[in-house]
Amino acid sequence: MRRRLPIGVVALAALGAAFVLLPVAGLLDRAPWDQSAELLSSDIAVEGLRVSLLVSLGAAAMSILVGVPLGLLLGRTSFPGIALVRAVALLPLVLPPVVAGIGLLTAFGRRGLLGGPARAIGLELPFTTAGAAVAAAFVSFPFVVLAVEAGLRSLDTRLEDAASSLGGSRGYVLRRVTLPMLAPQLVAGTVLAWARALGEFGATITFAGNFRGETQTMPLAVFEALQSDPGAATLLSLVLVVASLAILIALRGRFIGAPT
Amino acid sequence: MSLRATVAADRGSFEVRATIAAQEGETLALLGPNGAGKTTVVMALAGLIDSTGAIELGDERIDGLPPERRPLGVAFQNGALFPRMSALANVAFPLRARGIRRGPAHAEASATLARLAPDVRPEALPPTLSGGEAQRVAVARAIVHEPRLLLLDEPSSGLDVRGRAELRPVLVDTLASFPGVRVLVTHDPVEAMTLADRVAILEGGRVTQEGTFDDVRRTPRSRYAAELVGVNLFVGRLEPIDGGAGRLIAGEGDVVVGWPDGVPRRPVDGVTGTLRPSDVVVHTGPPARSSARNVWRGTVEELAIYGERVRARIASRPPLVAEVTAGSVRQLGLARGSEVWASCKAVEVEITLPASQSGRTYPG
Repeated sequence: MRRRLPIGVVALAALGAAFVLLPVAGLLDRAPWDQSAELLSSDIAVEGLRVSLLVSLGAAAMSILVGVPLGLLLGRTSFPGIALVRAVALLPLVLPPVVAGIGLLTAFGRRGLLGGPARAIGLELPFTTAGAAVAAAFVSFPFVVLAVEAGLRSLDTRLEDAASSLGGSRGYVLRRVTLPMLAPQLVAGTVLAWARALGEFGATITFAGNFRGETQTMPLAVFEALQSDPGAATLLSLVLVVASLAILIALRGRFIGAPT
Repeated sequence: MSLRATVAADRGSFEVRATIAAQEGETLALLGPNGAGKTTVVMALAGLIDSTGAIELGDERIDGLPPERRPLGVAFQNGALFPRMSALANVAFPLRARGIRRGPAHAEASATLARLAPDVRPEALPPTLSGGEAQRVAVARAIVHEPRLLLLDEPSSGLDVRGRAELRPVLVDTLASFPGVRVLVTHDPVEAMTLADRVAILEGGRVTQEGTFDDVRRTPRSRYAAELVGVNLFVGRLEPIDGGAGRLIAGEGDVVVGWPDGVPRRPVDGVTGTLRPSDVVVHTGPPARSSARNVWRGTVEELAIYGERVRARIASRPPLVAEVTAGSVRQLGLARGSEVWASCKAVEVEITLPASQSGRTYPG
């Protein structure tokens, strides 16, 4: 059933929608469409897109690897200090990304806590593509944690009980019952994490620098273009707008929890 | 092989302390009202909640084992089928979980499914099944790995008449052919009586009575047990009154009874009186020429029709169940809310003294 809302609410809602639409309209207005073919095939755009894809997909994979176990731990167990662990796990969501970048440098940088051991096993993170992916993963994996934990909360625990009473070991129950039932939330969480990684700027530039073809993702490329060629910057920005919109349309309402 | 289990579990402020026993080849019904702790007992037997107390199956203690290593099969309430697995994959689950390869596991599961639910397509997903179908798949899943203990938790709850009718013969066959120990958890006395050999009555987390249905019918030990077998039950203090009679002062009203033979005429506590519903006479006005010593006034709360016989639940002090014929219901114009007088003779109330006084039942 459709409900009628007070006119004031409708007016403010229209204002909210305009708030988002106007900058997009601005980008569309200012973009140098006549140079679009040339700009989009330029080195900065092609390399930026390639690095962005590599970094964001790597970040999504890392987010699953650590986010799913952490979500399971928070959603399925209880131990003293769980509230603190939850707060720490979600810290990257609220931390200014540049602070995250500095933190990563102090941990994995050349003179950082784990810099020595990491180099010893041949793992060079700062100012490499792998490092950019780690920076992006750092800020995006809490989305997977949140999605898994919320999914577990809405899950019928009787099904897992049934599975273990029917002979399923912990690992078997997780693999065959729990994770398949979490699939919708898992997909939503991963896509959001990937989208967040795609837009990452502060942590990446701080921890991995801004090297074309290595660590210069699309947002960094946009920032660099802005200094020299604002027209190119608007065009590259539009590429990111289209990509983000595509993600949201693909997800529809799923990112707020329940599968549709 | 037999089951001897003591469950001691605390669920918040509710504690369950229940001991049950069942022999091989026997079906024990664990019967109790909602909230009595029946599911807690099932969960404890399956190792899914913390419980202290020994669980012996044959000569093996299984209470120390994790759930997946206990030799039992559980058909959970409402089935608890895995929604994203086909009916066949659900039934094959216990075999696959035990490391049996897909091919042989599915062959075995397919045979069991065909026996218990021939009308269910093996590839059907649980959300597309009816309640009765889902429950039969759940029973198939509980027995496919040939466990030594079968637990059926409220198999018919939430089913409509058709679902029950489909399920009942499957339960009868499954229970009869299952070689191990069977425990049926239910709140439905008809289901318990038709499917089980013995009954353990669970109330408030405690087993209040255990035995055959005849045992319970003869001497129900609680109001719940009495209602289950259709007997009015009064428990309280028995005091001598005039005319060789006694007054049984139950919490919910007094009943005049015949004084039991050979018992000194002084007050006795913890006395149980039972009154068959068919011995309660129902009138629409104060009975004038009745010799009955007990006359109670009340209103009809409910009329349940069983063919020619009608069971009337009467809100009176004490509350009563009376059994009358359909003819007299018509004649008296009984309906829900009718004001009635119920009467019975003192000698029709059967008295059981507490164990400390005598173990015997005295005919009134």
